Amino acid sequence: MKKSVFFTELKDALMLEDDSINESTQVRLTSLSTLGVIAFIDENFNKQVKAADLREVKIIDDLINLIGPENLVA
Amino acid sequence: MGAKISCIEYYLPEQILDNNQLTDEFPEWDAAKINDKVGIKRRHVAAADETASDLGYKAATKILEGFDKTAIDFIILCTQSPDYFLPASACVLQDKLKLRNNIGALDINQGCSGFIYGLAISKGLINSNISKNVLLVTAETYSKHIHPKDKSNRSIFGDGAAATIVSFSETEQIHEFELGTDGSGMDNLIVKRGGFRNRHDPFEKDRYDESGNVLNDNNLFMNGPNIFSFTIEKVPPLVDSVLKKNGFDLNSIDYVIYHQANKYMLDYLRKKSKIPYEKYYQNMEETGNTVSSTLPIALKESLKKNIIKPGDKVLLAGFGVGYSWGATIIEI
Repeated sequence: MKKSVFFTELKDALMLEDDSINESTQVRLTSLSTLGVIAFIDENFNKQVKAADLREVKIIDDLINLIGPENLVA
Repeated sequence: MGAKISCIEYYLPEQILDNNQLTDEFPEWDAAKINDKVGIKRRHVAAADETASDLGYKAATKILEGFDKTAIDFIILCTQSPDYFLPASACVLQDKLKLRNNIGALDINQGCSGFIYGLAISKGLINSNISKNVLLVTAETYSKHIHPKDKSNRSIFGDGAAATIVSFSETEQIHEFELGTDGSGMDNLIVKRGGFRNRHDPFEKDRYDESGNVLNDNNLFMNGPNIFSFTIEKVPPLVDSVLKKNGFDLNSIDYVIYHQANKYMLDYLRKKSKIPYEKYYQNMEETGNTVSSTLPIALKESLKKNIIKPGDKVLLAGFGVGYSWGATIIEI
């Protein structure tokens, strides 16, 4: 997935109102945005993550590491 | 020869909890957001002295107004909020409904998959010539399990009951089932205390989760994200396998009804299974997630509104607490 598309779609999944997000944007997961991220990762990367996998996610870069940076292209 | 669903009725308790009331109680909770994401505007809540079997009694009374009660030869009650540890609440219901004495009665402890399991057992009873007309009652009062300060679960779950009569039929109208269980998921939807493993503890201290919901092991706990992951993993293959087992594909099915858990989850599951929107029926706005009764309530509403019609093939799928899941295809 192209990194620019990733950021745009992840912003919706996280239900963030910021104009744009990047690797260092902080992530505060609520119960609903957690569902959003689980669905986003399943749909786009065919990877099933659990709540425990997301517990350590503090910034977008942590999510990229969870998905695997090799799955994103510039 | 086979079995069919003859009729369905349901009952919802009088007291209503709407999203504005929830926002009044929890000002940080946005009513519009609840409706948008969860798909629920109102849910019904049983009175303090009203049990699941009381709700089941009312649903059953309604259905027996149009069905000869002497023809009922088995009663099954599916609930996780029984009146007593013993006797089975189905026995209490048999007496209250003045059903015959020479009939079978049993409770089944299942949640969101309970209607599917109830249908499977009913079909088995009929096809093995044990029964001709099974009264299947699904009744739940999760509100009594939920902590009053647990806004997430109070937003999702509603109380209610449904009564379904499954009868002998010259043709098979309840097709093959696909059932599944994974008890390793038990901790993700559980009332930990109150049984014999962990007795009720009035001194158990409240804890808070990251969304500010109060948790207490005497009350219902649900790990929503893990339940969501479980459904993503299990429900699409469940739909595929029940279609395959019955020799159907999605084109030969008129409607799909999922257990009405919450809109967000169901939208995603529908998309993942590539179920066309016009073949998909959703009904939770006015009732919330009534656990084992969501499927019969949705079926009844769709029939009442003439959306699902006689002759239609409907795929039903239930999934949740246990983990437990099941699906079948019925002909209306």
